[in-house]
Amino acid sequence: MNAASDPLLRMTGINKAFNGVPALREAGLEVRPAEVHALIGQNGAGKSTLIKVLTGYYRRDQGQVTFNGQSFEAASPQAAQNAGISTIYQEINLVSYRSVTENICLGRERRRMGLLDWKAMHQEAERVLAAFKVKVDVRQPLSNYSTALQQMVAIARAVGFQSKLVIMDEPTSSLDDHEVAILFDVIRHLKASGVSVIFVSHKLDELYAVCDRVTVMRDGRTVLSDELARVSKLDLVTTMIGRKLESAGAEQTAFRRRAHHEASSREAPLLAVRELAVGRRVAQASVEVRSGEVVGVAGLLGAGRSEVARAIFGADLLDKGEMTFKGQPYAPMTPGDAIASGIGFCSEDRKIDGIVPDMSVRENLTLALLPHLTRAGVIDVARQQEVVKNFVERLGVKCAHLDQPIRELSGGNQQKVLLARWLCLNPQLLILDEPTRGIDVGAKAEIQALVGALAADGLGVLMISSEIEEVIEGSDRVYVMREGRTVASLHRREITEDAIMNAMADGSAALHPVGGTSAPVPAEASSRRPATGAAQQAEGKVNGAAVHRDVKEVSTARPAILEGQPPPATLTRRSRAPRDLQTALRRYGTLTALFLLLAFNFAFTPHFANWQTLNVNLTQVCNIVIVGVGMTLVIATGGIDLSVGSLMAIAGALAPLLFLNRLFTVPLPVGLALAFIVPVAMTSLLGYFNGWLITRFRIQPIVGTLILFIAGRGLAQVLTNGNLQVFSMPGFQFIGLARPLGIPFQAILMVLLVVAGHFLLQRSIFGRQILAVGGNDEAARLAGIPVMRVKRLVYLLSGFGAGIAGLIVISINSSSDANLVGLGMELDAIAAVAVGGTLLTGGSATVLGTLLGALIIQLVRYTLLANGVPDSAALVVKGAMIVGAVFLQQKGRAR
Amino acid sequence: MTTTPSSGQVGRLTRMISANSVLVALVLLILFGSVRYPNFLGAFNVLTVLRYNAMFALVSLGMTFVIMSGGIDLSVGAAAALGSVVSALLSSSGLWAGLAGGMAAGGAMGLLNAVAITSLRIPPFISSLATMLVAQGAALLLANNQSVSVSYDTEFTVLGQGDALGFPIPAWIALAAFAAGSLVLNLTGSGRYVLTIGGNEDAARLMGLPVGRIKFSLYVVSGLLAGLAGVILAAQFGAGQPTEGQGWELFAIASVVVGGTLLSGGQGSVLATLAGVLLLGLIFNILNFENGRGWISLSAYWQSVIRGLFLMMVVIFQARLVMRERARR
Repeated sequence: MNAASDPLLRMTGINKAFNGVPALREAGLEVRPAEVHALIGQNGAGKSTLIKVLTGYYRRDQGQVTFNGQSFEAASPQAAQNAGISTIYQEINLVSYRSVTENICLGRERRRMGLLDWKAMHQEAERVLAAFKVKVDVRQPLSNYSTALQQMVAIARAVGFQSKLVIMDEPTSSLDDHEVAILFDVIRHLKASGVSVIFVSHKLDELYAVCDRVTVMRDGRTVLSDELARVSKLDLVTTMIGRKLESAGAEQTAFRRRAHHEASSREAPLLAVRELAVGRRVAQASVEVRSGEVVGVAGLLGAGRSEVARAIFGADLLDKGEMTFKGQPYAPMTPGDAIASGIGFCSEDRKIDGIVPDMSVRENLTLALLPHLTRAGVIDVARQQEVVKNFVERLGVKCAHLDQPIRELSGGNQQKVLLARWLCLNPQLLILDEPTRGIDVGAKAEIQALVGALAADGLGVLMISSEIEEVIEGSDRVYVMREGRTVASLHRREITEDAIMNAMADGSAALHPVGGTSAPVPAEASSRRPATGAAQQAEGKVNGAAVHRDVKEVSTARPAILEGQPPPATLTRRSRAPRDLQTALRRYGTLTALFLLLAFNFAFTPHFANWQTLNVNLTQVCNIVIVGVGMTLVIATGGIDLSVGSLMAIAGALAPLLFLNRLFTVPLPVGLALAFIVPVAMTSLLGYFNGWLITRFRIQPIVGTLILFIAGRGLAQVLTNGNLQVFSMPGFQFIGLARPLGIPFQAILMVLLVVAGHFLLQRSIFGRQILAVGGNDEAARLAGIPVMRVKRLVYLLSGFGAGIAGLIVISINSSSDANLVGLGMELDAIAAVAVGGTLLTGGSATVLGTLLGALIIQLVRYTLLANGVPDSAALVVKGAMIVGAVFLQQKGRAR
Repeated sequence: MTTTPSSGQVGRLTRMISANSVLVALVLLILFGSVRYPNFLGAFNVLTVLRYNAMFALVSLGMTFVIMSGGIDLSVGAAAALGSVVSALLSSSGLWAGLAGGMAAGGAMGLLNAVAITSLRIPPFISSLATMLVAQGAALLLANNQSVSVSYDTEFTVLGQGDALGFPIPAWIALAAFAAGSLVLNLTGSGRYVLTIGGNEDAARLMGLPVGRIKFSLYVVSGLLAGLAGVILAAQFGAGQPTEGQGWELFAIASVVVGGTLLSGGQGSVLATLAGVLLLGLIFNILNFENGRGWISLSAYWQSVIRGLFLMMVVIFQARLVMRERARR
């Protein structure tokens, strides 16, 4: 071995496990000086873990790394950078609003006399870029330039740090051909100047264009490392995703080869997609699915598979192409349309757009079914319970109880709940995007068996999978996608590993030109091979009763699977006891605090226990709570409403104008009626306007409602010309002054609104939708929830509450002052919501909590006052309470 | 290879206009006023507008930096009120005592924010909401629930009412602060770090920038500036006013947004905020003039409505720009 071929980087025997699950097992990587080294592997093969170990993101458990001839251990990404290893991440980690110069020079600015020397920095940026033959105006914001140029800037930044090794994680995923060519020039240039490059990509052609050597990873191991010229594309694909060597020849999935599905070309397809084009990722895709058929979609990452699925489901709009469903033209505008047509969709990443993490198993399961579970908007809990129980049983979902938050479940159980979300709708077509990714072996077998059984029952299934075994054994037909095109359509016996691999590698193995249909190969019971592995045990059980094709059958297979595999739920259950205490504390903390305060006051504060004191306290809290109910709903969707105080002023200004006949003359009873109706209608409308502004233009809620915060009070002042309107109108003022049975009228109103709000949030379909939107906006959209409408309506309700509160305030005062009504109310209401335990980030809310929060704030204030502490000091305490409440909330969740 | 911005010439023009829209609008408004009202550009009017808006400008300056970093500070109004009370109480000990006391009080509130946000990791909205209550409470406590008259025995009131070189002292102070702010933003590493953090906090961390330290100092500075605004308030009106300043925070946010600084952070200009403050201030001024002419009688209350509408226009304009950019990608 001569000095020239001494590797720049050598990683050997790297082990790394997360929570006991190994991600890297004896992995290794060797990069020579001035070499472009391809690092490839499927999702989860361990590439990124290996890179992160190298760059100091993770610490390795075991193994040696030498870099530049020395033992190497980076403490942080910065340390790695200083040592000469730069990483360019897939999502370009630059700041797009800042100039090119800043993105290159930040962190090592040029200074002159303590101030930034822009001229020198611009020159440096130009100089670095010129090395790549890039000439741009470096003063412009980065966002003005194409993605390719941004990549170039990222690389320039990396090289500017005197790197010896540059790691590029899928740099070409968002580039077009021309831009890729430029990038390759840059890489060659780097190589020529002695820098080594690790190039991660899924596009095989690119590897051959630019890389010298290749390392293939699989299941955390390095399985191949060689000169690229000596490895064919097919070899690459096979090593990457081919059947596992040790179990070759055995069936590895629990998919039953359903004896046959007589998919004749005469049978009209359930779904037909022709010449689909979506954005950058899908150029030309054609797919057909028939009832009772499992159609697999194979392809490397980034081939456009998920994008096709999303377009069929109406989640993304298509640029080109035609679809028919059940023989009818089909053009969904929203997921809701697709669901109504009878399509379900389990998305690729459960966490990002599948589950609503804080909602219970029950709520997650019935999220899409809700419209069918309601009578007049109210959830039929009994029927919901029945459906949920039924499906949890049939699919064998392991959970402590149905109200357990879904985030506490294992991946496999989450996936079953998501499957059930669609199955309970009784769909005709189910689209599954990586249905078994990240799921333990047992659950995987169950889900595969379930999919088989469902198809046998007549469901059409479109299944995207990166697991070749799953596609081969599970599908009646297979489409192979490559770089945005369906390049092959394989039937029955043609579905072989070789055929799929070839199509993935070159797109050359198209046995059937896509679009045309050839006569199906007569289905014949494929020779069954001896079953092995835990999954196969399940398979055996299911096969034993193969005649009955019922979903229920899956559950009979369940015990067998679970015997070998400890169910994940038991793990959760073990740690439940202390958690229950925490949950209880969090849930009942506010209530406890309230009782303590009350007890303290009853015991020590003179005159507290008299009717009048209680009424005074109650009256003061009423408005905050009435506004707080709407605010809770708004915050539950992840928004905020700053305009409530101004809306109160508008309502307060309008009402006297109406009953005092200042605007037009009507008989008093009419005027009084209008004085209640018009102001509240007005503020509701303005609330809706807030929601429209926020959803239509995607403005942050703070800014969106700030507009009415400012303009609203102005409107109120304009209406009254800023004058104090004094009145005495018992027919109107009962809303603030009446005391039926000695109880303030507005307290009754408050209780009614709280009960209504609580009921709405807990029991109505709308409430579930609010929480789903706040908990996971995208998952809610994919479950067919009209996200925009939900958001607009909560702002309307917030405006409604503000209107009523405004009327109460002026009734109590017997006057309306547009300058003062509702001043500061937005912050009081937000404080009550926060102290009450509603998450300010949305997704979890309690109207009763807001009531308690407002009562606590008021009682603390009263307690302090009654004990001689000035009101001003109470404000300080209130501030501390808000911070304390939010801090505890965050700590509770950070667990 | 030569690359021009992918949006092309038209894109660049809209960008130019949008980047400077507030300046364009300000110039148009001034032109309109000077043509229509004879005294509009008169020394008295100009100086009054500047004197009165100086404190809003200071508060908005701090807010600009906070918003550029992706945060928000709701406590500035209350911190200014507290600053005015403290400085009024100390004004008998002289100008500098009042000035230092007021700023220190504001700075202390900023410190509370900074600790809550960077150490306890409470979101800025909540932290500063709580700090606002603390500042209000402290101001009322110190002032005993009423306004505190400043001492006229010392020079203190000069800070609000005095002139230097024919120009109001508050305006000088604001101008100096904005010059310093502009300098920091454009010519120091820290200034650029603020923008970088607002643009992409993770990227800033990966670039090795001192994210925590920068955020911490931002809120302290915002508090100091609010305190300074409070000092001017007290000096100008002769009293420390514990209940003043309510709603200032939201008007400051409006000025910043009208100036073109994105509320999501990462972008912004100090001078545009100054223009935003003047613009919103001039709307009031022009309404007064218009009423003086007697052609129409728009009550002064229309100013809020017009400000709101203006804010809406700016926000929608910005949002459409952002949406178009997103669609292009």
